[in-house]
Amino acid sequence: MSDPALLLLSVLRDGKEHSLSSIAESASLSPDAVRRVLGDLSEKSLVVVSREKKEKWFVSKSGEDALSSNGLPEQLLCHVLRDNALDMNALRGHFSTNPQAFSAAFGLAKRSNWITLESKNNQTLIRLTDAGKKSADHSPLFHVLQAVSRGEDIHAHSNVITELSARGLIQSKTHTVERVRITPEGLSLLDSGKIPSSTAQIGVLTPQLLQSGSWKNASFKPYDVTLGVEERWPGRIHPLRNVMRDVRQIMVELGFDEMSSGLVESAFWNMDAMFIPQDHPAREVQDTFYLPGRAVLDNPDLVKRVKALHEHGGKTGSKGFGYEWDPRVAAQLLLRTHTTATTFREFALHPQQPQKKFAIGRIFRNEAIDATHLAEFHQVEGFVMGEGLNLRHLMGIIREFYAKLGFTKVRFKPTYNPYTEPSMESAAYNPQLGKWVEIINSGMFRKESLSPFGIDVPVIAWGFGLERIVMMLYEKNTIKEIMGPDVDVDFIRSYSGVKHGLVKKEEFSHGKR
Amino acid sequence: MVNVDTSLEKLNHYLTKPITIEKLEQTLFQMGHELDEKNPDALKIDITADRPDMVSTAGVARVLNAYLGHVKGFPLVERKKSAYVLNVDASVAGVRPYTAALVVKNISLNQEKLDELIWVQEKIHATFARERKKAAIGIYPLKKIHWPITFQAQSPEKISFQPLGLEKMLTGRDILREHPTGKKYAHLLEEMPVFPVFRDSMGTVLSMPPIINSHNVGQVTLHDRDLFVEVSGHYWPAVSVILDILAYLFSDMNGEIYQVNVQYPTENFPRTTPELGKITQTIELDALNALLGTTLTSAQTMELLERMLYRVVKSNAKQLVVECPSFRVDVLHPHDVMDDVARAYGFDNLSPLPVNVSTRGGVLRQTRLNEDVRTCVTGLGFHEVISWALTSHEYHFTSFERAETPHVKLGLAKEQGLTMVRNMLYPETIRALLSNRSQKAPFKLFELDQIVDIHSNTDTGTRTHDKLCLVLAHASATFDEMKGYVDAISSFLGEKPTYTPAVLSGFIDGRAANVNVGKFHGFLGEMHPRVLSMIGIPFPCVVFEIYLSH
Repeated sequence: MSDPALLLLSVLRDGKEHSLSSIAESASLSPDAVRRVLGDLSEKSLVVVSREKKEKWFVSKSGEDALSSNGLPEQLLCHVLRDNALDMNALRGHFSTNPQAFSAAFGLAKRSNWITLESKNNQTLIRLTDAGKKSADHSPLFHVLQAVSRGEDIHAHSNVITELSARGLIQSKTHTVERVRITPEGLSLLDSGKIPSSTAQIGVLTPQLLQSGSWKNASFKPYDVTLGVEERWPGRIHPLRNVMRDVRQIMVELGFDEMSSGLVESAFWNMDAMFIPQDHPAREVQDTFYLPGRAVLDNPDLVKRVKALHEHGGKTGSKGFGYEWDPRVAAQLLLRTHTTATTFREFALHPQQPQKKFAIGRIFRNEAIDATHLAEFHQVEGFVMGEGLNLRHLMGIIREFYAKLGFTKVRFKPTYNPYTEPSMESAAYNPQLGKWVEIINSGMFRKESLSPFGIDVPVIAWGFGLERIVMMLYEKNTIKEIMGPDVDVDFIRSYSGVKHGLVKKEEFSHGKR
Repeated sequence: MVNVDTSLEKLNHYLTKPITIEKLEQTLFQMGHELDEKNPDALKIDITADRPDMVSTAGVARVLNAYLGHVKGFPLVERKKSAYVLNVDASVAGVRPYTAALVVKNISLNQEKLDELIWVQEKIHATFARERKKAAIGIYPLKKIHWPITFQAQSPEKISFQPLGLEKMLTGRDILREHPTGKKYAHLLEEMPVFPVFRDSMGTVLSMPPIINSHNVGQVTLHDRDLFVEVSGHYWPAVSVILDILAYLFSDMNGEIYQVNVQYPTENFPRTTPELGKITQTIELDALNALLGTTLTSAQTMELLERMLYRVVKSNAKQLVVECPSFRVDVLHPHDVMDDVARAYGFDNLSPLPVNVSTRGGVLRQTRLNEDVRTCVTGLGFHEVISWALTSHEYHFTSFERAETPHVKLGLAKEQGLTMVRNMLYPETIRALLSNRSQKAPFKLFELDQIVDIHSNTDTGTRTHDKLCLVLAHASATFDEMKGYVDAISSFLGEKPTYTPAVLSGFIDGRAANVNVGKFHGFLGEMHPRVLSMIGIPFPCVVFEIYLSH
């Protein structure tokens, strides 16, 4: 018997159960090596290894929703009905933000006889029963859900756990715990100090064995190749970064040059320069993060031209907005709300055609943060500047881009953007989801937005958010599982890194080789 | 997007030929709007924000009737002459300078019409009128009014009337304090020394715009056949356009529109309203076809324009002169009309063309550096997180025992607790560590992203920098292990790093260093156990952070 085996047996001498990791630590061996040696020892009945599958439960997204609204949907429903019977529409109104939860809660409440339905004057009145009143306050499901969120032991509630899991309120991760105990045989072997020699079989191949050449007279002990080993994680970039890399590559393949600009902007570059009126709702504090202080409008000629455009349309044939343009509004500092600010800074630096440029960057919206609202996003934006471009070219480049993402069926729809005309939304058919997904917004920049920069050829442009792509690609319902501090590090460590594009493309045929 | 809630029945009431749900959905899509809820009894139509004329069932139907070819161009609204006079007193000049008004007769209100009227009023207030800031609408039964009406501004204590919805008389000032609507819109008036008010010739208060109507003369009921309607505000074009929108709506409801003579104190501003103004644009056919990539003739274009509510007043083979009602506030430039031509033509009928603009393509030097560093750092076994750029002082500085360094502060944030833009990465990277501390160690996290520094020589007073941060956390994490990674990254960058002992607050004395890698400056240190225990990290944690741009 080799030394590691003796070492492990002596670690186990106290006769108690030890976890694999604690043995590895005491013996200063890698867990994989310990596992191999233990396999050997247990075959000789010197130790007993017991494996126990342990489930660890986590609260899911919809579970978090229930926790934050202080009750499961059916409890909320009962709560709403506590004082008054309500008709269907009024009741549904309380669930306007989450219609699915309403249907589920209503069905459950009805099956459990917590509510009764009565018809009156063409209306259906829903009334709470006594049983319903009780359940509004005491839901065993909700208590266990809270326990799960506190990380408490929930062993005793297996029925409830099954139900919570079936309703998707909690999710589990399974891992195996290995515990080891020395047998009387092992102990007596250790005490007798009689270590049987095992020259016949080699456990781990060592440099000493190689040097001495003693392996020539030995055979190799076969491994159990199915045995579990320690987890290993490759270093990884973030899934969003993966998508950014893909998008950047597509852009460069299509001949686009990258551009960038800072996160802090003036309203001038974020709005005025592209002909967004000074009283546009998107400028309100409710949507935009404003910062104390003022920007310097450091290009007086450009400022003069933008002012003229806003006031009377300049020389573009536009009416303009007919107000007096206020430089103080334009000098407000803010966190950029779109990467179009980057595009317009680029116009000022490089107004010459032909050009194809793109930017990928972070943008900000003044939102209260919850499961569906974030204050920070990532956006891609591209433009083509060139003689003779028209709306059909815009359709062409967008179709090309979708094709690179893997979508072949694309449809277009007119829309309204303040700084492009025509403006166009586009959707692609996702055969895996079986539905159209709206991704790219686009348009041709207005003459009023190009003229201050001396650009007199058409510019077609498009953009989209990256978070939605990431969610679709990695089948996530909420972006917070990936982005920001609530990220699941295990997901970053182990997500599939070979997903590119949103749709599985047909494999290229290599022919016979 | 603005929604119009209606039903198929109500919509068909206004349409020349009834429409099916399928056809409605398809038509709205082609025009650039959306059918959000398809239940025939509870339709929800989403209109783009540039079309205040469409926020009613009648408005949607008006547009559909033309698009589907039932009528050509926009309907003509007849404005009958009248002796109604609305006097505008000079006192409103600094307070609420403009008003426009009309009288509508024989409108025979029923519940549906009344609901639609209130809907339009609320939607226009909320959107185009910017929450009553730009303009506000008032509607009154005609029979209770003694003409002429005066629009004036008075001290709020002198204005006293029973507002709609309350049982008692209140002064102008008290309405802002006590009435729910008064409280909601108080910010629009409370700073003013005088408040605007409409009074009739008996001195009876009609309303105090933009807050509330009087209970006695400003309450419209189902029995009313004739109405007085005014719009008041700060910007004449908006006031006039909103009144025009209402005139078209009443006309669609078969009401008769009578003019009101609005007498302004200045001579050059007498107005007869509603103005029913028109917008005229000249469309060059060559420019149209160049923009859309089409080969439309003058005759074809004319037909398409008529389907988008335009009237063609002149046309030849090269150009068309077109008119549309003033409420097409989005029509500023001939391209806006051309966009409508495309909508009528149908985006589906335009085939995509390849773009033949030949350029080289490439990424920024900064991007290449960042991506190279990511390759190196992931090779060292680190996992990337992306955290928020927005954070709070308390967390970003105080929790880490950092002294406040110059940074960008936020104004008003909806999300409580957001007060600044990060100027360091590691506190934010460590948030991910905090929410994952029960996962399996070791943690080797990195972040390569942007921070914002204060910088006096730029137009925004700031500079956005790219930085790299490594966070190492496990039972035996040490300065030395991290230093090994920093050495590796330096050699990857072709540089020899220098380490200078440094005292960094929040880090253990004697176990922190300033690091220079080529031109880039950074630091490395073992976090102080006081900080670790305060933020709740149960194992040693080593941080390295460095600029990747300068």
